[in-house]
Amino acid sequence: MLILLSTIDNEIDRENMERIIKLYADEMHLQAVMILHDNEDAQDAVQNAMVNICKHIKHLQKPTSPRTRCYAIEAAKNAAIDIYRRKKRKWEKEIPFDEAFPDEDLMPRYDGENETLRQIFELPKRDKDILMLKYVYGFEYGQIARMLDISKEAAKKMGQRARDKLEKSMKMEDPSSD
Amino acid sequence: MTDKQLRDALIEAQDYMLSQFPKIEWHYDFSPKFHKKMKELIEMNRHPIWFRLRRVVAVLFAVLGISWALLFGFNERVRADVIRWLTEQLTANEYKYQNESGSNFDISMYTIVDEVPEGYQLLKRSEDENHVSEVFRDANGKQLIFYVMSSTKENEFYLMFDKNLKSEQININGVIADLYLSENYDDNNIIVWQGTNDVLFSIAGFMNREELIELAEKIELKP
Repeated sequence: MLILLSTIDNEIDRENMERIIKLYADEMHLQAVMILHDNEDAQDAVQNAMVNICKHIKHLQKPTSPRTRCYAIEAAKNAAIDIYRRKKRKWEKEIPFDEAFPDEDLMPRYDGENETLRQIFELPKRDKDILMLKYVYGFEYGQIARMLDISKEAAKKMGQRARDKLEKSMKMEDPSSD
Repeated sequence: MTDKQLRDALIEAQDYMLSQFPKIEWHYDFSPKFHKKMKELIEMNRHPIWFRLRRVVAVLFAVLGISWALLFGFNERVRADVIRWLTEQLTANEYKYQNESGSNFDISMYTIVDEVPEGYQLLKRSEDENHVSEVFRDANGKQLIFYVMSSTKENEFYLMFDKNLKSEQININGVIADLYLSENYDDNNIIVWQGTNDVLFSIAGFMNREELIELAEKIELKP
């Protein structure tokens, strides 16, 4: 029975993985191209992102969910940023790196009125990723630490710090919430 | 702030990010390498245990391969044993010629055979002081090869045969000859023996056992 359940489980994961590739590969590629400005590098980023998604497929909601879409795009963005940083280091060794690709351009901006959202978007990318992984996708700090290649303690501390910062801004926005 | 409030805020942020994502038609033709990798990923989800097992087996093979290559590369004895084993596997039959008398009998002026079976024409004859070969061919392209050797500088010579040939010892004009018969009708049969003056004779042709023996018995070197 256990084997049967495991087979069903794997079959669902397999189908989900197939659907994620079908639904989001192009969007992920677009996201990567926006960062890397190169189709081939972007393809590598999508491939790395898909490997990441495959590892954590059990944590994701159904493939059509906006949360899964967001995870896929963010995974592509992170993979592209990794490649971008590796290249940037290489470029910097060869020629002085100018302002053609400032890091800030890689981060989305928020132009709305909501102070909480503004605070979320102003968080360092890593802090924001930790919060997303913890509270939207339900990963444990140990898992997040492995994903981001940091210690569990560091992941916990960063997550808590980011949360405190958000709470503070929410209180400022709505003092009556006390 | 409760966990739920935080989650809702983060989801709202995600929705905002998605709303800002460019709404353009974008299609990229991923390379075959990419598709292969994706297929592997899907397979990994289908058979995770089998996939991991395959990886372990691949690593084991790689480790064994490297160890074997190192041993083969650096240990002369192992290398010799392996080469001997491989030779045995590939060529189970061998005929070792040894010129015990050490004489160097010049055979270049000799004719090997007066009369060949009907239908065969001489195609090529080559000779030097130690070797004479005559190649005949019939209308179907089947060859009949006579080869005679008196000695080599090393005094040793090996003839290797396909391991599928069955060997048998027979008597040709009072000397022991080795007969190698193929089970496959389309292959050559071969007979080899050493005659007077340690001269080595061999005949290879598409003939049955009796025809080959009969032909061998007729052979003599004629000046």
